[in-house]
Amino acid sequence: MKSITSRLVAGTSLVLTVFVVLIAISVSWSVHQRAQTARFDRLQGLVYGILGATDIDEHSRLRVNTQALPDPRLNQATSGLYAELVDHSGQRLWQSASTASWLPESSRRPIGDWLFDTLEHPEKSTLHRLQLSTAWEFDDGREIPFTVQVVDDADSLDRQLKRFDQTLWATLLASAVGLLALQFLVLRKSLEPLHVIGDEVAGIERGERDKLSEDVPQELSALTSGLNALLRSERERHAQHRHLLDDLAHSLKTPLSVLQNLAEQDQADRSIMLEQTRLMKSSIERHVQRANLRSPRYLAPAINLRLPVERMAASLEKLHEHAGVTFQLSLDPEFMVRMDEADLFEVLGNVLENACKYGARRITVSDRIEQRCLIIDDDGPGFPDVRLEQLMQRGVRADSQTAGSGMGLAAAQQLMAAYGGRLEPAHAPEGGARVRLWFP
Amino acid sequence: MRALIVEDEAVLRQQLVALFRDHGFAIDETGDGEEGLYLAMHMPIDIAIVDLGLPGRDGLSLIQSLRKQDRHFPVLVLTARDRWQDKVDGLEAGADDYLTKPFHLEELMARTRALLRRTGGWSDSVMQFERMSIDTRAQQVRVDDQVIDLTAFEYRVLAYLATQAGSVISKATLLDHLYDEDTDRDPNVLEVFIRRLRQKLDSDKSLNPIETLRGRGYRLALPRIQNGSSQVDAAER
Repeated sequence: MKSITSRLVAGTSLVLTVFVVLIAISVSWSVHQRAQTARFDRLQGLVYGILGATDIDEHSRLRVNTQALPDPRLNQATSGLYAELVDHSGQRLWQSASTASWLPESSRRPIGDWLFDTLEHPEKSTLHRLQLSTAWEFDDGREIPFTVQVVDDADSLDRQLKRFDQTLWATLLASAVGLLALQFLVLRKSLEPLHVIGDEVAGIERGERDKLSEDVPQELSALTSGLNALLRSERERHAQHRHLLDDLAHSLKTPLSVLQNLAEQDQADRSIMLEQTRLMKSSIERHVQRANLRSPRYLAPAINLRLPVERMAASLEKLHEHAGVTFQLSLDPEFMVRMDEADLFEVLGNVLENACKYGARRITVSDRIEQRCLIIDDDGPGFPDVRLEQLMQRGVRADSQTAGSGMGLAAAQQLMAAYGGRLEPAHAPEGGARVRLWFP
Repeated sequence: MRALIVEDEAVLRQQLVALFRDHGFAIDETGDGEEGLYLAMHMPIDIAIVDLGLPGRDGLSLIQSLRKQDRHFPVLVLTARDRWQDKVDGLEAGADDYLTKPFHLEELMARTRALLRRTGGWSDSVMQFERMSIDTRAQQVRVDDQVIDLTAFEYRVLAYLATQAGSVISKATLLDHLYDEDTDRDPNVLEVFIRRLRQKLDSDKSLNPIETLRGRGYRLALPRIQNGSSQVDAAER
């Protein structure tokens, strides 16, 4: 069940089948029920009609006036409608002219009781019977108990019902199949954009196209534009890495050739060698930093700020244990930031170590979560009395990269900016340095 | 002092071994993580220098295993990965300090000395005792402000006793921490060195810096003077 189409088709088939079966059963049941009621009413009418045609003769015997019978079929032989009167000893008092050879035995029942049932004729089909036990009452209080029985050969109505059922099922099944087919077509049509996207992705893999078409249904436009952004960033990243690698190789080649030449000489000047290795080292550092900064940042997952801060603080406490550096953290456990974890560590590491390096003993980290701001205060000597914005610019230019001149802060600031946040150096209220990190 | 060096880059390992030998360390060395762990578990190591990217068993897992098995000597991590997340991972695994490649050998030695001092409870590069001080950076010993001229081996014996000041160190332990595994070590030679050291430090027999506890070993018994300042140390880092 991998494909969406087969899932949907299987699901709707199941639902439709259940639906059709339930509808058919309930419609058929209610029609049968109505037919049964109608049949009872009709037979009851006949019984009353027969009773109406019944009289008593001079010998106090029951007599049926055949001219007054409610249905002419009672006077036609084997018409399918039969009637009889039976006294309570089972003696037949009267039977209709239509009566064939066999009639079901009437049973003795309390007076006023109706019996409506269905019987199987041994040779023919089903019969319906209505029987009423009643009594003829004389003026002097005497009464003759007897039973009226009307039997209807059910053939025609049952045939109609059967035909109705067949038509019902056939229609419903046909419409179910039709609906399924229609739904399949609709699905095919609706899912077509997905197949198109699949083909386009394959085309991208083969290098035949460089992005997905944006002309897709509304529901998919987020997907395609997201994928396109990803592709674009991937391509940019690739290009940037290649450039950076070229730059790095280029910047290493010069000191490398100097070293190579020196190694071929008998007496190498150690100071030149050291200078060249220093150049190579700073070149690598600069390029790695540039690589970190340049990577486009899409789709960074949200991470909880507290854990990285705690881990960073614990590590720095360990490193600067001999200097007695302690951290005080009061952070909201719900402070989430959308940043790559390694980058977040880089920002925190640079800012917090800066505080440790410049002689702080007590470093406080707190937050203003409603402003998405992290505040780092220390009790060190504070930032030098230059304009604080200048602090951020130092170390950004490659040629001014000397250790301990706020380079860590500048790097952290650039990382924050890459995510749309910012870093603000300030003076802490108690005299030391304050750094505020504003997260996007 | 006995140092364990675990570094798979052979040239760098040889440089490190030479550096540590020059500074009077006994050395155990290997380029393999598993072997590094074995040595760390079975040799009387004072400090370990561990590279993170190792064959066999990587440096982080080596350090974690060590700490899990109650080996608490300082560990300095060498790594080419200089992102903070990697450093935090290393420190959380149980490392005490890290140095990113490429590094200056002097800086490695300064960090090593700082770690060893901190293990002995010294925050300063100068170990100050009553009437005697040992400057671990200059490898210089002074008694009553007079510089005492010691040989390299004599200095190593004294420096080791000083980092363990107050504790009794058996001859076997002292030898373990001073000599490589394959060196011929003679306890009698050690006795001679101790005697010479005493004479140099205590020419008028008023100081008695090194006590002999018969059958148990030696102890540096001078009272420690801890100077609160750690400026020097901070600058060293």
